[in-house]
Amino acid sequence: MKNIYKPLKSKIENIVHESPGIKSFVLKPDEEFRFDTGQFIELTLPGFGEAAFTPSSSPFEKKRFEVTIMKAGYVTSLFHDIKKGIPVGVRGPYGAGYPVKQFEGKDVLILGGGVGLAPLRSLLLTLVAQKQNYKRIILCYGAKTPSDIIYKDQFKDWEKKGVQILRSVDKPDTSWQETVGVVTVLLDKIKVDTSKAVVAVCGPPVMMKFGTFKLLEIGFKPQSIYLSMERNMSCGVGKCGHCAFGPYFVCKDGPVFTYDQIKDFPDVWL
Amino acid sequence: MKPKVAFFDFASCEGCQLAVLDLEEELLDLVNIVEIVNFREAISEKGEDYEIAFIEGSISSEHQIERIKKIRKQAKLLITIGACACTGNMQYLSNFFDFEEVKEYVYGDKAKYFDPVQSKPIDQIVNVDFQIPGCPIDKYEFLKVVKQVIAGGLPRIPNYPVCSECKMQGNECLLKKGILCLGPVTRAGCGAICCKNFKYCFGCRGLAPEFNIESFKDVLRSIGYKEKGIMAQFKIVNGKDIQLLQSGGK
Amino acid sequence: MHKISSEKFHKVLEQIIKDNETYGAVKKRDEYIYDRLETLSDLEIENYVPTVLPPKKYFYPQEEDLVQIDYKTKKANRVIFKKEIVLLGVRPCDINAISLFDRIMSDGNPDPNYLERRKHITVIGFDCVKSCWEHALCEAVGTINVKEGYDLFFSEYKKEYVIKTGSKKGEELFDRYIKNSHKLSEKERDDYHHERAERIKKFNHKVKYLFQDVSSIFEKHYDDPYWKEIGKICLMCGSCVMVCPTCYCFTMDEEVDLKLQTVTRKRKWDGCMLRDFAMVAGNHNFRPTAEMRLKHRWNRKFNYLLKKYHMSNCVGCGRCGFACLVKINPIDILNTIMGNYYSGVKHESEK
Repeated sequence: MKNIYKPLKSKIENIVHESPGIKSFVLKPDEEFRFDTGQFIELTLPGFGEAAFTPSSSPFEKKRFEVTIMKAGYVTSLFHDIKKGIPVGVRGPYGAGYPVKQFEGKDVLILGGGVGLAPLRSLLLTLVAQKQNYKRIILCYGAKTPSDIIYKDQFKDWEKKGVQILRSVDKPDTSWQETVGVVTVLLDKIKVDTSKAVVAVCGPPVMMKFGTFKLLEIGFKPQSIYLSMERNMSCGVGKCGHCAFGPYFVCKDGPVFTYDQIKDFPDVWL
Repeated sequence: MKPKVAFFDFASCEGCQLAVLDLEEELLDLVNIVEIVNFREAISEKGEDYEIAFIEGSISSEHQIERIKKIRKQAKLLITIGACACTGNMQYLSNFFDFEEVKEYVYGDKAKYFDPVQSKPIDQIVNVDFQIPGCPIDKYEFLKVVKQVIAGGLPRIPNYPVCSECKMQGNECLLKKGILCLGPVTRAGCGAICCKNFKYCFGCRGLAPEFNIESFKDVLRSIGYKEKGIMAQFKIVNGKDIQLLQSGGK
Repeated sequence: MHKISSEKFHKVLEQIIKDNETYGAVKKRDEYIYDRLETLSDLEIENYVPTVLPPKKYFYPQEEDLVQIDYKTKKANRVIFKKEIVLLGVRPCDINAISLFDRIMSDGNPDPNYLERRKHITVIGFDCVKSCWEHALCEAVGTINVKEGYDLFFSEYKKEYVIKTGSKKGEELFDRYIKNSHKLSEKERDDYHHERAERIKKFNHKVKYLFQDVSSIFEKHYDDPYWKEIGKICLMCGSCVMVCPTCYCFTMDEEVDLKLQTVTRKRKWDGCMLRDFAMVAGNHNFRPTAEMRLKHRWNRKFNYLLKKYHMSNCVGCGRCGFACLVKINPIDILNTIMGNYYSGVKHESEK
């Protein structure tokens, strides 16, 4: 029987400062590591504990993967203090990712807020690698301030590869030339045939809530809205109960749900 | 290099330091990973060059205020051990009386020769990095905290109430027998050691981060306790937090 | 199905206790706990009331090591604690809980620690001839009957004992300890079932409504005002979770040894009634109030998991109702919410 609680040793190869409070970590596991975009992993700092993250890199890269971590709690703070070369443990991948097959032939809208762009970046890289399969890829991204934007130097590259990008910040600085306001205002600026489009949303709980309402308002069907409903996934295998979300376990049945799957469930937005 | 560690005591019975010494065999392993430079209960050296300071006891004189401020300046990490240092323990009761009367009661007509202040827990005087609660502390929890600190992180202690731990032990419930026990509102981590030995919990680990005080008081009233008796029980260790609660804080 | 005399029944148990490391319900002060049996006289048979903790603690200990990681090389090895033991006198509620545990732990990603340890535990059940205490609702939720989860099962019948075997291990035990016994004729079997059914009719029956509709009612009355009412008095102490024979949630923690050589990953019982359970980094809590936690917990028992496993996930032992200092209990929950549903009391979102 496979031991579901045993981590795979991995080395931190590189650390990138994305913004104040957010860093990306490049990890190289001892063995080849495959995941589907949107699936998550459990990252262990031996002696301290685990936390769940969704890789932010392309699933086509099998030797390494990246996670982007915001300093928010106990384990994430410890990760922010560690240095290159340190071995950590990885379990997973767990859960169901984005059903990218079902996105084929459609416009794909990606709506991200803050560090929520991390799992969406993995999706974006997946889509870009098979760009011919999708009609258009549109990224709407919002952050608090220009300096809070993550993957700052990568937007240009994505744009070159054909991604339409719109960005907004709540509080601009003097050099900011793009949109000001919450991320949902960007949705007024795009034109999509919502009957032939899907949208993937990830961000802070409040943004997920109002983002979804806005998407419904502009005509997206509940079954075309893909939400990352991350909770505190702990065991990753549907045993420990922490990520229970109504009748679902986020770690097994999610983390990606369509709004249609969860819309009738009370306490969705908390 | 091994981090240098110092132990200091203020107004207390020094029982928490004894709890550390009670580690016996593990103590030898402990000195393999830290260097103890100051520990009045155990060694005669008095090093002033330390990174981690463990503080026992509460602050009850002007002189002690100066001393704890000096320690805070030196220590990279200041960790309080025991109820006296963390919540103020029963010394804090002096805050509920007229202080002149307290002084007179304790020192009689010699009061003028002393410089006492109303007893305070350490975090009311200086910034505290971590608290190991308990009266006395649980020696294994102390060890766990030391290991975590040495490895480079701040430790975590339980945030749930003693009842959870008590049930895990399979103990009989004392409240069910009409005994006033503060288990439902007290922070766990002690292994419900008192209840296990058929002694009620007096709340030595401080209030849990979450509790339902009104409902709990109803429970106590239903088994025959009066408001005054309930509050007196709370004040034994948690006077500071009760004051906060009564003033609408927390 | 076989039967043996009462005298032989006691002899068999005595022999089992002598040959095996056996645990059963023992009286300690005023309450019962599962503890080591030295002789049969330690075991409470006649006047059993549910123990403080269910036998869950043997299958699924309060705290256990899962993995050991070498601090330097970070190489990980699994750890599984197991011991050959016999649990004697396990009641139908707890047997149903064990059977549920077996299914949950082997479902999807099997839990190696539980399943490995489970193989080494023998379960010998006793039937209940009378209602154990006023908190029980086994007859209402259908857990007075046992289908799986035991090896041997004894049921009193006309001052004798009927024996059922529930596994291969049970058959081996039967061959080893019982040998000569009377095989029940068809008529005797019918009579036994009839008498047992009559016996159950005399149980508590405090749940006033038909249990089979519970999950749809809980779904429709998700916002029943009763949740707010009990949420207000709930102490959030976690007692109900800890004493529950079917609660299986846990939390993982790691500890380094003092020589800084080994990191041990442990798991410890945890529960959805406690503050940190649904909390994520940054202190966002997905279930911040007692009301939400109670709703979640009881929907798991009577709705979500009932639908998934086709049996009540509350086995009706009543331990939580007894442990709760503010008297929140499944009998009142069922009666109030189903009652509100049938009498047309509006739930929150309809107002």
